[in-house]
Amino acid sequence: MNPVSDEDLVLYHYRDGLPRERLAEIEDALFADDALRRRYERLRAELNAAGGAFAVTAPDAAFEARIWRGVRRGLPREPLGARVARWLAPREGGRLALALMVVAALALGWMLGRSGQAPAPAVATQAPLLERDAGERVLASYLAQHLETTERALMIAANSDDADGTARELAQQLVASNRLYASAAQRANRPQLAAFLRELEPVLIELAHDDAGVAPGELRETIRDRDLTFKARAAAALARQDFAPATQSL
Amino acid sequence: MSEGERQWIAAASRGDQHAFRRLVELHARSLYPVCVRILGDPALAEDAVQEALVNAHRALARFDGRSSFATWLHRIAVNAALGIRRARHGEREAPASTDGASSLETLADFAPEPAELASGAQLGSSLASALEALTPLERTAFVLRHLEQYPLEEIAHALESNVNACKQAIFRAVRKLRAALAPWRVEA
Repeated sequence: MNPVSDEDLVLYHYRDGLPRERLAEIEDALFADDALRRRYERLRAELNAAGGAFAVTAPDAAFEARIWRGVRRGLPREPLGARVARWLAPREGGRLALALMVVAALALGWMLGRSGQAPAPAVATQAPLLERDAGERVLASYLAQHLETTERALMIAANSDDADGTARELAQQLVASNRLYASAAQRANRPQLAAFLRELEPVLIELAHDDAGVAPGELRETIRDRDLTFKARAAAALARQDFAPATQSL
Repeated sequence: MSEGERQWIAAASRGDQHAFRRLVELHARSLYPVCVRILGDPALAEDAVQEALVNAHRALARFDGRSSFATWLHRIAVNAALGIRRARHGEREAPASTDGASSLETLADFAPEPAELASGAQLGSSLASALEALTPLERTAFVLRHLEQYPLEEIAHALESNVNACKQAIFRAVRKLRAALAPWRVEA
């Protein structure tokens, strides 16, 4: 048998890089030769000690956050569909808020629904959205404000680089209430308004999660091509018009 | 792999960044040690972890689940660290001389002065010096074989080298590290 070198012992230690026959020879030699066995034990101990020299200090608590910030910069823009799906998915901790929104939507829908079932005035082409009691006026006022704020956010997104993130912040405030109003409008038998609010939702979500602070070209085109800014202004004006007489009479 | 992790992988491969963030938070820390060991520098290791995770995001659709996600990521992290190492040290490293004279000269560099042998704490310092003296190839080959338990074939593939060159790199690393330990050796 060939003498067993330190290199042979290293490879034997890892059980890698030696033919099976050679491994068996070394195994037999280790069993029969005390001096060789001592050499091997010393090698093992020194390899273990050397491995200890590669001990790594654990990174600090902010490591993951730091890594994510770096990783995120390298990722492609998230598809709109993924954002919408995530936004719509119920999340832990957000379920109570979601439940409250649903309750609020049902309540608003019930109130609006009462007026939706009322006969239309002879002079109007469309029924007033709400009866003119104080609570309904407040709700209608919120809807008008919501649409005006939406118009503002869309206008900024479509026509500027939104360097200070105004459109994004506005959209973040609008997303949840937009769904509420869409549900309420549907219950109030205002399908066009409901459809318009639903059309707004993915756009608002996209804007709300636009972390770069710049509306992408695709989103700008969507806003312009669908005349969303104009539609928001028209819907807000309609809401204001519907409730203006009652507001003035206060 | 947990069901939650499986769902995050599926969602992340559809472009859901929130899901991918969960995966980053779950695995980034475990990728760090191998990157530090290969690169010997914590800041570069963080860069390698980041790069690995970006690369993993690009390759998510190709993850077939045959290995665990952690194992798959680990391989990508090793490659990222090696990429950074190559960028810093040149695309290919010239194999170090393996002749006896050269090895002896190298070993002589690690012989500590008698006064340095005063305490066990100096063992760490001696080993640290030995690590500094490892070439990047020696360091990486030793780390992958000894600490990460990569087979030689896989090390050769990762290092774009051949098995024999990797063996020689490991032998040189072992000789240098053992030389640093020699003064503390207790003969049986």
